[in-house]
Amino acid sequence: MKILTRIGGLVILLGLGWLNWQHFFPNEERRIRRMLDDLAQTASIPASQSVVGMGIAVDKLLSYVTVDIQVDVDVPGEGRHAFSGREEIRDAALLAHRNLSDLKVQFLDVNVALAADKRTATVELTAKATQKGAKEFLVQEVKMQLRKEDGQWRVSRAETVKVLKL
Amino acid sequence: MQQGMPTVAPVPLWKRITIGRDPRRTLLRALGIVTVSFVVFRFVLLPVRVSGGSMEPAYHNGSVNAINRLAYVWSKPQRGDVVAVRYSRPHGFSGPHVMLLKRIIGLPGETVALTNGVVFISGQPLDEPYVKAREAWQVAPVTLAGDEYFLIGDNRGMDQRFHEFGRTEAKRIVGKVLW
Repeated sequence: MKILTRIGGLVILLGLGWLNWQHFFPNEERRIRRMLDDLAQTASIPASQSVVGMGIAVDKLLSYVTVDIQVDVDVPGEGRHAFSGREEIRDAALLAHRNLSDLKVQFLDVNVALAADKRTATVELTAKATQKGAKEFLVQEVKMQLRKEDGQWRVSRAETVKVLKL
Repeated sequence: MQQGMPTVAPVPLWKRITIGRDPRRTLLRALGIVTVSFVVFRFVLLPVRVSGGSMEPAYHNGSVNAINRLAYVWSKPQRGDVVAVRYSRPHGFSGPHVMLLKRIIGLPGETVALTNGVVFISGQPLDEPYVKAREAWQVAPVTLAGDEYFLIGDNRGMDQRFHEFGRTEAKRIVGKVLW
């Protein structure tokens, strides 16, 4: 019984140690997942926002993308929109902040495929945007290319994937 | 000298209700229930809440249903089946967080077209008793590949531009709606 208790204790300790290690020394995939969580939070728009707050939020959003970012989105009912470079992203983000409020963005079912060089990665995820009070929410599958720059993972390309095609 | 039966202290009612007469047996039962629930709701039945009105009038906004993930293990999807379609692949053991609920109208190899809201399968009009409202939707003929199905919602009374429909690969079909 004593031996069993000791073994149980050791297993729990090892488990806690492993969780701590993962937290403080995350692998690349975990780093990417954390970055995507932060990105989704940054892309969300609060209920009320000052002009300064809007500028800070948009600047923070730009820190998650590369200078040569390319975005290609096809939203049902809205059509296809393409943006390239940080300036175009800034304009689109500012427009979204001016016209939308209380928007929650979530990245679900995230799949990360790290390249062999561990400098680039491909991510497939389901982006869900919910506006408070709205009956329906917007869902799109998104494919992203990520690049590691100065120790930070940044999005270099993002495009929506159509689940149902005509 | 009189030898009596060993006396067993009666288990208080609150203890019987919360942890039962035999805590070890209760723990085993609880573990069994948790394991069965985990397996059933992760791998067999996916509980879902319908959001939006694209499947009206059969499935209303906010209604609760379940997806049978084993429905197409031994058989192929059939025309008329209401199925759940995933977006990106789920990570780990969890099922997809968000899915599309649509009805299959076109099977692999068939040519699907919509003319004034009427569905044509390889040139023949399709009888769709589940469609109650119909706008003049137009879709040019599209021939499905060997692993593709054509999916559409029942609510054809809405604007075609805001209704997500079309062909998808078989691998994206998660399962069939239970009821």
